[in-house]
Amino acid sequence: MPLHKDLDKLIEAKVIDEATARAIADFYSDKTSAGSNRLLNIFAVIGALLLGLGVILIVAHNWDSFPKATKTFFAFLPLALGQGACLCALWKRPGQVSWMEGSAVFLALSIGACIALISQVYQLQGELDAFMLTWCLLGLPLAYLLRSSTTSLLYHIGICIYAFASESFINSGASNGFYFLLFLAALPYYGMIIRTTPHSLLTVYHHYILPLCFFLALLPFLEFHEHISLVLIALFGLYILIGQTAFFKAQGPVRNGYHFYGTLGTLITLLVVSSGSFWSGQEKVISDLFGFAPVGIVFVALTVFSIALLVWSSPKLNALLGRPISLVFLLYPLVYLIGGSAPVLVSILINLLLLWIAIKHIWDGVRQTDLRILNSGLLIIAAQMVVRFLDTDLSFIQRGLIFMIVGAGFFLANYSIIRKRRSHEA
Amino acid sequence: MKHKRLLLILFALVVVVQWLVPLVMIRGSENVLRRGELYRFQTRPVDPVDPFRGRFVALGFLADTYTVDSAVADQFEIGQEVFAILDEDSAGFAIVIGVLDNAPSTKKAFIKAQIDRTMKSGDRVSLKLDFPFERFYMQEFAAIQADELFAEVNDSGQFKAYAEVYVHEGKARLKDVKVNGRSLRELALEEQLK
Repeated sequence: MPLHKDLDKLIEAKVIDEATARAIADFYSDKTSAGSNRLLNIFAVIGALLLGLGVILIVAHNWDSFPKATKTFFAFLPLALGQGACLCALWKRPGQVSWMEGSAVFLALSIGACIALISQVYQLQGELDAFMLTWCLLGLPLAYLLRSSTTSLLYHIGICIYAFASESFINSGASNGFYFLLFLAALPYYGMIIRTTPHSLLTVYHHYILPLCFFLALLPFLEFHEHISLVLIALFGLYILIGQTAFFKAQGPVRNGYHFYGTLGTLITLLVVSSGSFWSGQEKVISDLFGFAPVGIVFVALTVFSIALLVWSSPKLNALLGRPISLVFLLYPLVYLIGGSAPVLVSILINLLLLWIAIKHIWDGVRQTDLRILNSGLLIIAAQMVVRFLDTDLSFIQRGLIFMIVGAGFFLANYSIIRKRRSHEA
Repeated sequence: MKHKRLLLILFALVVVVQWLVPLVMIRGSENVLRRGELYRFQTRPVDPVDPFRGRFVALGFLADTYTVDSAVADQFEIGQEVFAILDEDSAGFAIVIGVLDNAPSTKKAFIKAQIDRTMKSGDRVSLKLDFPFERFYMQEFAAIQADELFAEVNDSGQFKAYAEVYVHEGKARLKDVKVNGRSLRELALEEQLK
């Protein structure tokens, strides 16, 4: 039944007076008009998008028949429009996040489109890395000037692509460390959004995108060297320690990208190197490590940062031992030194380290009645078993029994936690 | 107010740089076309896509291999930037008559190239060069037609397919790709309309 009829009935029954009825009617008509305005806006945006796409397609169809000057005009058009939108955002609507973000992203993408079209029109050759570098360098100032976190994210993805595309990686020539300077150039912006908008979704995306891009860009820089596991453990150790700082701990597990990548990366690396065949037949010598300067330099730099962070956070020894995964970056290099001469021992030590981490997770999960932590510990054991399944000579019966025991352990552990929770609730 | 003014000034500087970069690219390219000497490089077949910059026809050249003695080849390595000195053969097509690791002082035209790979055969080593004009950008669907047409032309050996390149002070600019004097763009569009 329409609202006004209900209101009339309520007035007749003297439940509300006329003034109240008018106020209620006004309130609901505002809501409806806000809702219908939003709908109109959405349809307007869809209409504008379709119109824009239609224009682009018509231009694209006739592209070859346009003279060079016309093609150049169309190449610069998105750039000019983007710059106009940014100017409008800075001048007329400073502080309006949607305007600043939207115009900055549009301009950032237009820069790439402009350079790409100009290259096509004028047959300018060049490699992907040069294109990405130019695009990223021209786009970075927009993040700072318009406080655009989306542009900052696109920049980090762009320089990661640059790191992979750089000629030196493809031709296995000298490593290109320029990526790290580019990364540093965007760090002040990251620091600023952590201070000013720590809970914003875009800031959280930075906590995930930055460590991932840095890790990916490190791989071509190190040319997938045989000692890369040392560097990776050092990197993931640093991520874990960053994730355990007060700020990131307060973010909670879902928003803590450093803890996620650090833990996952450390566990995967340890699983890969836990096999005896990884260590046997290889000479792991210190001089070999520093014979390839980038690996040595990055390893030392990351380890020094991690130790500094550990000392600065000054945890007690008990707390450290209670978090064995935080110690992996210190223990692994010691194990690595003896790897070549005692492969079986090293393999056992790494497996024991994994077991220690898993048991700690399970214990914490039981104590805190947290299924997530408990199951992560059980998953570590299960993953270890899968890897051992592939590289050991146990019979099918033996492997089957082990899997059954662990599977039963999964059920029992989860069941006991659920029972414990229910008894607390009761 | 001051902060807003500073932001606008900085933004204006950024706008200037964002326009300057593509304009400098255009100017450099047009300069080579205006002042450069025209060379025709005979092609051989090689259809890739550059995900960011669109469709292009990949070009390979008969002149891109230069043979040297083994002793001389030691000074070159893969990925190294070199300078290829150009001349014309009796048919008027460009050939490479020398490869140097430093910019030459000769009056002959030269272009910057990169060593792609080396192939040893007895006492001689063939240097495969990457020229800076191995992509001919075209409109997306025309490029597909051009790829097929180009492969047909190069495989048959009956037609003369070549790239028109302007060369000036070591820089090269690809103007057009022609088959028996007709532009590949024109031929590809005709195929499309059939």
